[in-house]
Amino acid sequence: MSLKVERVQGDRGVESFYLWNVVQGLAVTVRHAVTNLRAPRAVQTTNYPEEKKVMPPGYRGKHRLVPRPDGSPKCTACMMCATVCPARCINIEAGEHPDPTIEKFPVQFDIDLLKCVFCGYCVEACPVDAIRMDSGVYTFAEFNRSDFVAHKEQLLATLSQWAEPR
Amino acid sequence: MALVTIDGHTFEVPDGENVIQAAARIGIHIPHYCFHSGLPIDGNCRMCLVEVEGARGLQVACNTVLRKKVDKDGNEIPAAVVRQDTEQVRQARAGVMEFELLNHPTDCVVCDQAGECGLQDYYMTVGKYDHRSKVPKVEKRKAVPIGPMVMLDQERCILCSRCVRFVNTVTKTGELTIAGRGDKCRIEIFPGVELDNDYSGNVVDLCPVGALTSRDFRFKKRVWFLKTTPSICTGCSKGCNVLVDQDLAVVHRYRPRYNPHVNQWWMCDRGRLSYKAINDGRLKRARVAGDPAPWQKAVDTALALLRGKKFGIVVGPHASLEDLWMARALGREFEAPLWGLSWLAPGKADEWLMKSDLAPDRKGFELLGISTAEAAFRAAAPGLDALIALDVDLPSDLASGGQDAAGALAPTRGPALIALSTHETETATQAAVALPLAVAAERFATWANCDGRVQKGVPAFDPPGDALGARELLGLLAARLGKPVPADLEEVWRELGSELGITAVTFADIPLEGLPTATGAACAVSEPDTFGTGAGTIGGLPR
Ligand code: SF4
Ligand code: SF4
Ligand code: SF4
Ligand code: FES
Repeated sequence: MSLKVERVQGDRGVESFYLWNVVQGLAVTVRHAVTNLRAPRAVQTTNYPEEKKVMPPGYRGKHRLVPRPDGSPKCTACMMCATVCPARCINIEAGEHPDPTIEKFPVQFDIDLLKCVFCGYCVEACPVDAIRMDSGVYTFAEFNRSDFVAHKEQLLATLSQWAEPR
Repeated sequence: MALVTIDGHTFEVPDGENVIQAAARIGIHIPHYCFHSGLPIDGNCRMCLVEVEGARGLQVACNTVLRKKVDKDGNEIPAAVVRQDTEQVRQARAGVMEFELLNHPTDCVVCDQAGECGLQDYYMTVGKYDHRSKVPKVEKRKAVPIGPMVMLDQERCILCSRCVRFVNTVTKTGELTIAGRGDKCRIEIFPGVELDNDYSGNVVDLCPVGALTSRDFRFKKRVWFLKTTPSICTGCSKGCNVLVDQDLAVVHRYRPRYNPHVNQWWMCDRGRLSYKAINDGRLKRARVAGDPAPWQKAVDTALALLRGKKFGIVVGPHASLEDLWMARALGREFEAPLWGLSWLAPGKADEWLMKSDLAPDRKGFELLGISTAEAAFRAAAPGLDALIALDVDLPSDLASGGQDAAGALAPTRGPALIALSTHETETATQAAVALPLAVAAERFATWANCDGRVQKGVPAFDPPGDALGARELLGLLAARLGKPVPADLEEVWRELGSELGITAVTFADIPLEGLPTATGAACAVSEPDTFGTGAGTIGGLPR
C-alpha cells in the first residue's frame, strides 16, 4: 500500500495578515457587549465567586459521607470504595461500634482529593449508599497539600447541593 | 490402595480416603462445609451430596469412605462409582445453599470473613437461587467475645460443628457446644468458661463462615488486600509452618500451613500472635555508639574495630542455618571463637506443639557443632578485643559492660561490641556499632526445628530501612576484611546441605514441608495425623 501525500496550501498574500479575521472577531465581541448592556439579565456568564452555579444532576463534585439520623456516618467501613478506587486515595480505619447490630464503623475516613480522579466508582461501589458526590463542590483551593485530604468530619459536614437529595 | 471412579475417571487412592479427598487428587473440588481432614467426619452439612452408583438417593461424599474392593473373580473393581457433575447434584447443592442461608444475616459488609467465606464462594459457584422465604430471619447474638482470641456471631453460623469437634477431639477442652433446637440452634460456650485454650485461634481458621472470627485481626484489613507467603513461625523451636498475610509490608496475621510432619493443620495462639514482632520494635537504621548513623559509616566503624583484632562471635538461636554456617566460616577464617548462646527465658510448653525453647533454630547449634558453653564464653570474653553479637540479646551485665559475679568483662564493654540485631534490643542500644538485620519473614533461609527438620521460608517483603540478612551482612564484613567467604545462598547450601546429610538438594529444591536431617530423622516426629489420610492439602475450604 502506498501513501498519498496531499499538500495543503495555507493562507497567502494579504490573507496571511489575518486582518479581516481580527475584524470579524471584534465584531462578535462588540455584538455581545451591546446585547449584554441592553439586557443584563440575559448574560451568559456567572458572577463567580459571588454566585455559585448549581451543577447538573449526576455531576461528580466533592464527596460527602451520608449521615444516619443521629448524625453518625452511615458508612460501615466495608472498604468497597477503597478497594475499587483506581487512585487508591481512600484510607479507612475501622473500629468496633458499641452497638453490635452496627458492629463496624469508620474511626477514620480520609479521601485525598489531590489523588482522586473523580471517577465516581466509590459511589457506585458503596453497598449502603453512604458516600455520594452530589455536593456540587468543584473548587478546591488550599495552602497546604495536606489540607486537600478530606477527613471524616469534613465529609460528614459537606451537604448535598440539593435541599432534597436525590 | 483402592480404586475409585469419579465423573468417568478411574484412579487409585490410598485406602480409607473419602470421595472429597479422592476427587481433590484429580482437581475436582466437591463443595463441603463440615468435613475437614483434621477432624472426625460428621456429615451434617449435606453440601457434599454426590451420586454413587447402586446407592439409594444422593450420598454424602465425606462419609463415602473408599476401601479396596474385589469382585467374585478376585479382580479389583472401583470402591465407588461417583458422579458429581449431574443436574441432580447441581440442584441438591443449590437447595442446600438455600437452607444454609435461610436465616443467614448476610452482613458481608461488616463481616471479616468476606472474601474467604464458604457461603460467598459456594453461593457464586453452586448456589445462585432466589430467596423464597418471606418469614423474618431468626435473630441471635452477635459480636460476642467468647475468649481472648475469638469473636462469635451466632447468626452467621451454619452449624457445621467443626469448632465443636475441634475442641472435643483435638484440644479435648470441650468449651463449645451446639445448644437449642430447630432454627434456634446456635453455638454456645458453656456457662462460666471461656474459649481460652492455647490453640483456640484454630477455630477461626476452621470456621468456614464468619461465625468465629479473630479478635486480633478484627477489622484490621479486608482479606483481599492481603498477600500470602509461606514461612516458618519463629515463636518456638517447633517451627510450625505458617502463611504470612501482609499488606504494604505490614503483617496482619499468621495462619497455619499444613505440614503432616510438624503442625498438621494447626498452630498455637502464642505463635499466632508472634507476627507482631515483625512489625514492632525493629532496628531499621544503623547505630554508632547508640546514635543513628549512616549505614556505610557504621560498617566502616565495625571494620575498624575488627581489622587485625582478636574478636569472637556469639550467635543467637534465631539466626538461620545459613547464618550459623556463615558465622562459623567467618570464625574459621579469622580464627575467631564462636559460641551459640541465648538468654531467652523459657516459655510455656505442652505435650503437643508448644515448646519451652522460644527460639526457632537452636537445633542448628547442634547440627553445625557450635559450642553452647556459656561458662567458656564468659571466661574467654574478657580476653577479646571485639565481640560480634549476631541476633542475640546479651544479658545486661555483658551488654552494658558491667561487672558480672566472676569479675570484669572490660574488653566487651561499650566500644568493642558489634551488635547485628533485628530489633531495638538493649544490646543494640549499648553496642559500639549496631547494624540492622532482616527477620525470618523477610528472607530466603532455613531453620532446623527441635526435631531436626530443616524448613525453609521465603520473603514476604523487603526488610525495612537498612536491614540486611545476617548471611549477606557477614559475607560483606568478611570480604571487606580481606578474606571473602562465599555468601551466596545456593553456594552456602551446597556445603551446608551435604554437611547436614541432605545431598543433591539446592535451596530451591527444599520442599515447603521441609526435610529431615541425618541427625534429625531419628528424632521424634510429631504424631501422625489421626483422621486425615495424606491428601490433607484439602485443609478445609480452598483458601
Ligand atoms: S471518585 Fe474515584 S478516584 Fe475519587 S475517591 Fe472515588 S473511587 Fe477514588
Ligand atoms: S459469613 Fe460469609 S456470607 Fe455470612 S456475612 Fe460473613 S461473609 Fe457474608
Ligand atoms: S461457628 Fe463456624 S465452625 Fe462452629 S459450627 Fe458454626 S459455622 Fe461451624
Ligand atoms: S456432609 Fe459432607 S461435608 Fe458436610
